[in-house]
Amino acid sequence: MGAIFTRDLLLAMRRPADVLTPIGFFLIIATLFPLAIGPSAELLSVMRSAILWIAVLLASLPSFERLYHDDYHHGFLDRLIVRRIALWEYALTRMASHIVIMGMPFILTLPIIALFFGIEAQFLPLLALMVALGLTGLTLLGSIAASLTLGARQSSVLSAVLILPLAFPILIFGTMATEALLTGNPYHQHLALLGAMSCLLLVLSPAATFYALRTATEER
Amino acid sequence: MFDFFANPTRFARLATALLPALKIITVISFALGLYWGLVTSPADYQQGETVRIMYIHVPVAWLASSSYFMLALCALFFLVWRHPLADIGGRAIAPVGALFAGLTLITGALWGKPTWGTYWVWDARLTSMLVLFFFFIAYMALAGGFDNRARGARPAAILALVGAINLPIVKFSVDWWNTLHQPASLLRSGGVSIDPSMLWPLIAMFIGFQCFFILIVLMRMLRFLNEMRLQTAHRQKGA
Repeated sequence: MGAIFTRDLLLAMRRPADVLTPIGFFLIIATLFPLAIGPSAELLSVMRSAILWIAVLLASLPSFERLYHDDYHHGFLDRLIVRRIALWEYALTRMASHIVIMGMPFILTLPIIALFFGIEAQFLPLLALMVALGLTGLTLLGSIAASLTLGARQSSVLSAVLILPLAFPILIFGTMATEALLTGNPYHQHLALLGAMSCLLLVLSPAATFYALRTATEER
Repeated sequence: MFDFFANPTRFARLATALLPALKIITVISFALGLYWGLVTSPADYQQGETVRIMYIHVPVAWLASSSYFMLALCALFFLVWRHPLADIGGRAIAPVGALFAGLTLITGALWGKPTWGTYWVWDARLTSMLVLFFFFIAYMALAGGFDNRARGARPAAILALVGAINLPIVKFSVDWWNTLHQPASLLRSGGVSIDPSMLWPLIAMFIGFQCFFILIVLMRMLRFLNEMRLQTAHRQKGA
């Protein structure tokens, strides 16, 4: 499993475009809102946590398709099964490397977002923690959707339709935690619920992904 | 009992025998419910005549949630016991469930306009029903998203179960979001006792919609079975 993790990190370093494109997408989505709403700092400060979380949600969506797509089509999954390597263990490793490879650039981009929307630097560490938790939950959901849609038509739209309704709690707890933090209200309960959501998905996601991957390889 | 129904031919025979009775019960309950609901039951002292939308809205809302429960049950049977009819059952239930969820939203909107003055508010209950509607849509999209129809069966069943586990959490989060974002809810909760003159039409409509639901699902399942039989026949002819 360590080998798969290092392989993913190496691949990401050799193909920086794969990592940077979602970040570009992230910044572009964040730019769309001021363009549509207008430059009024007042309105934007009301909406900034919503903008941040919608941008995180949308920008992370396309990346999930890469979780299992290549390994499935290149026959790597079949080889794992032949060698009796547990698929859930493989899936968890893939998710972990995905969180690191995709999450880090998102976190590193947060200061730019903060700059755009007038968020003080003192909030950044906690904001990074919230986004990291949210991205963990989203990746766990994305893993379910990516494995379920392997081999389907229009798999990217399909997986978005599967992920987004399930991601409503992450959006709700995430925006509320961020909003509470930025307005100086107690944010712990929202943050705790965001964490609880990720913990629950940590139980659910490997099992669902395992069944979905097995189905995908058996009924190719 | 599962083994008994595992034989599609036996199921088809039983279902076909049940259809006429279901049709009769549906028509009678709807006729009674509509007559009592629209003619004999009194108008509400606050809401006036618009309260009669309740006789459609409440049974339909109840069925929309219970059909997701049945969908998840079908998914469980399909995944655990590989029950051949469970996949067909799930596929038959999903569009009907989506229809009932849609009808709940539409009748709710029509009821909301005269009573609250607006078709839509982002109330917790309305939003949860909308989420339920999205869950049905996602199930249908995944079940029909593969070139080979049978290939979509297990992914869709897995999704239905994941959705069933997540549904209470989504419901909770929407309540959480709503109570913190909005002042008091527009819908009065609890404490509303219902007069027998309004209860009877409601019960009749419940029974009517329930039988209608079973009727539609059985008819759709029989159609799927016949389609599959036809495809097998074609394949054998071709070979």
